[in-house]
Amino acid sequence: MATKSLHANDLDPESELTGPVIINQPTKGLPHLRLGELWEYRHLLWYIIKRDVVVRYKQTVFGLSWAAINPLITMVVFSFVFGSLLRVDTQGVPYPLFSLTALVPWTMFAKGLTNAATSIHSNSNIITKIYFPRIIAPVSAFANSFIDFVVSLIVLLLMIVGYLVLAPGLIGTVPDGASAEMVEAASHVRVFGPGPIVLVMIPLFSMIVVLSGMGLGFWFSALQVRMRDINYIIPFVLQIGQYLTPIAYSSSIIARFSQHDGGIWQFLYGLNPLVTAIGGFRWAFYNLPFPDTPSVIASVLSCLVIFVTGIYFFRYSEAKFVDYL
Amino acid sequence: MSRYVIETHELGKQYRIGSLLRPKKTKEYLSDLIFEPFRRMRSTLVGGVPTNAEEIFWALRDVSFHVERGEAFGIIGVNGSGKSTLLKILANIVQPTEGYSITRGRIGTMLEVGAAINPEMTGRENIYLSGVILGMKTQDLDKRFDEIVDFAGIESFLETPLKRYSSGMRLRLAFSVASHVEPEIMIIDEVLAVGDLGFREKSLNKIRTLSAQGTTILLVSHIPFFVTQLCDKVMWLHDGKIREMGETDAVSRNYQEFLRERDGIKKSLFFKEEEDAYRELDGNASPKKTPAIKDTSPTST
Repeated sequence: MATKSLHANDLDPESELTGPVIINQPTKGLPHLRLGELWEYRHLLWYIIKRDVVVRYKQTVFGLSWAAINPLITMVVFSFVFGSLLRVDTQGVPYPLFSLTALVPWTMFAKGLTNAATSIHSNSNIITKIYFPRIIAPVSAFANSFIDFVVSLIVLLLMIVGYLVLAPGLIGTVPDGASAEMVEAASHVRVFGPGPIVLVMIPLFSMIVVLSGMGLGFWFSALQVRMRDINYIIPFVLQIGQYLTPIAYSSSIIARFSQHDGGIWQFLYGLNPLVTAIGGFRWAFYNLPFPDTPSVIASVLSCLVIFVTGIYFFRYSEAKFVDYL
Repeated sequence: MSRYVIETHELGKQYRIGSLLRPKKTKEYLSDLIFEPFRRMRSTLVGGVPTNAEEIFWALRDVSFHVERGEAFGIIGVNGSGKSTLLKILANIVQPTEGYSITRGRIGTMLEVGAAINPEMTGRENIYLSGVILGMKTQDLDKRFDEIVDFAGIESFLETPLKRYSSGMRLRLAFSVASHVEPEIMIIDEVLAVGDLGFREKSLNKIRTLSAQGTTILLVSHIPFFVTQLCDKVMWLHDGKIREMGETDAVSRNYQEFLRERDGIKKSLFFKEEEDAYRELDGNASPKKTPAIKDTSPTST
């Protein structure tokens, strides 16, 4: 085919039309990220987020409080099983607080990933009929779980305040018969112990969850269009992920389990970005030890890789979405 | 070059069509059970290699045409001739397999009315949502809101969720929003084939008004009547290729003759409407350029 390739600057710049010049042709090679386009379509992004929130809680009795009910109930179950029955070491933090601090970011990740993965498919009625940057669909799907995250974070803060007011003695105590080591660790526990720096660090750790969840969301949503198998894979991935993430237990057991190997296990464990994010949350909220350096390095690397490759893969695949929907 | 608002060059779109329901022998079935996933994975990831169940099909091939600014351009053709595929490429929804298309200006698409509508949200919320999806800013929507509601005639149902609307009301709402977003290029696909007569008349007039105001119109229909009513120039697509392009009357006459011949139609009720229109055309000066007087006035066809 004698097709010449075109660029936007080949076109007459003096056109009085206000709208954009759109060239639709087969893409070759690495796709352009066109992130500026996301800004142009910000009204749409905002409206789709709003639509999802409105639709999700229409005709529900509890409305937005569902955002907090989900992690709270899990917390109650975990507190009974892991806290009361199995007596998991929480380094002096009451088990409900210990687990809820992890469940709040985990729930954002899990819900956001699930919603983002099916977002292209669930928005197919508009995607097949109108042009907009397709990346808006997974971004807005994830944004919705971010809203839930903010709500449940407020609930977590209220619970911490409740503990401080009603039972301050429970924070920083260990069960009877604990080792001297555990008593020592528990003596460092302070709510917001690290000081004002947590105001910077909590958003940073949340960012790790957002980037990795959204990045995986890009991957899965682009794949899901062609392979509906993703619908079956995601619950499975999340189930395994819940065990590989320090939600019910503390990540310090990994360090204890591998003392003489130069941090390779911590690094591998940290490839799950939530390890650092949750460790970071527990550090910021209760002054527990900061996540291990090898884990932090692995988490930052893997979350950036997931996010950047996710965007590229999504942009590469999006041209064919409509053909498969 | 740039006085063309829409331009395409050797545009082609290839689809792979599946025939999964083909009956299979037990042996075939078992071997497919094992090997088909690998073939499929290869074909979805690498592309190009059709699996057992697929065939290649060109929905559009070698289509080059251009539309000037302010022109009303019609596309006719039988079902499956590639009309909708072409529109979807122009609207940047589907990527072509070969060639390219260029559009200059803000596009308002009306591909199947009701696309952006959400049944759980109220009429008011839906007007904003579909307006924003069609490319309007919220401030502009605030300004045009009353006009949109008025045209759709749904004042008393603004706070009702759309799922409680009748299908006609939904349609009116969707058309009203789409025709008030002031696009520079308006792409309309078979929209006029639905709705009651009064509504058709009203929307036809609305499109005429837009055209008179300088909006470039691209209208697709398999019913030549609408095209002759609205368009200056027509393209007849057949099997994904341009069969004829030129003056509206000549092309749509040929198209109708083709239809009659293909389906052996001698006398028909459906064709009558168009015959009347032609009689009118032959008698008077071309009525398609008559500007709309009022959107709501029911004029006779």
